[in-house]
Amino acid sequence: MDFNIIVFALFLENIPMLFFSLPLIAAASVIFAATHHESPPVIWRATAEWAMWLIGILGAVLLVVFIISRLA
Amino acid sequence: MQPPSRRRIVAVSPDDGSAIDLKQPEFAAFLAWMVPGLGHLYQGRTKKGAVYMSVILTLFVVGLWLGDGRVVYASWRPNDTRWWFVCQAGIGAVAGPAVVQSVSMTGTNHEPFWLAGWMTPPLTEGQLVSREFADRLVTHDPYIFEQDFWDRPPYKQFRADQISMWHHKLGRFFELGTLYTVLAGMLNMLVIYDAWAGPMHPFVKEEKSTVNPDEESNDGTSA
Repeated sequence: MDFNIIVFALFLENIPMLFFSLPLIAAASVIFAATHHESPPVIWRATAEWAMWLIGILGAVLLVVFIISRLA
Repeated sequence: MQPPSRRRIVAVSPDDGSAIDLKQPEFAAFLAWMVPGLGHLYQGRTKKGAVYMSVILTLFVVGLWLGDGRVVYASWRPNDTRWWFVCQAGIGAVAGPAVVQSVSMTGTNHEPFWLAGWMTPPLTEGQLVSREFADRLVTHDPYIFEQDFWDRPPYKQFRADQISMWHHKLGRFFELGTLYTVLAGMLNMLVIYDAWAGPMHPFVKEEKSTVNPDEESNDGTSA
């Protein structure tokens, strides 16, 4: 139980860092979308798709790292 | 065929198939490197140019702010090789002062070109600096004191490690600021490509040929 609390506290401590990653994901999504399209409405739609992909991929990596850190 | 001077290079929009006038793509790419989005403005792609400029410059400025203005510097010293600057330099003229400051610091004057210290590489232990710059650091930098310098006329010699001071002062924000500015430079590489060659098209699989390769080579149509 104590171990779980410590792990959860470590996770909470890193939440500000997770917050700082969001602007990076947003910026990367806009640029990725804009370099693949020309029409502004299509660019904004593609930005949302890229953001979902990036959040999904990076979130999965983060989850795997978190699980491995718990098992270690 | 048009003469080279009147040659127009166009790309095809993947959205509606319309032509995009790239004007002089090499010059547009150079402008895009110099200032993010400027190449697109030159090509008349104003909305994309405005988006690129606002996003990338904002990312870069926020990174600088997070890192207290110290995360962008050029340094090729053995004990402080700043490889991140290669990526940061992707943003062009905005990162240019770092090169000027670095060259000036390694010159005979032993002081940065702009004494305010903007984008100056950190001082290392034993580094000689001009007296004027040392006095300015003592006055303006809360982490540097008079006793951090030995008197070595006509210079002063630094006796601490400024990069350690920065890490101590900024903590994780030094890395965060570095990450933001590095990513801004790297994303601008994509913008430069977009200015040079137009938007990237989705990968299209080539359909398999229904012609037998042997028959094709027999009738002499293949290369």
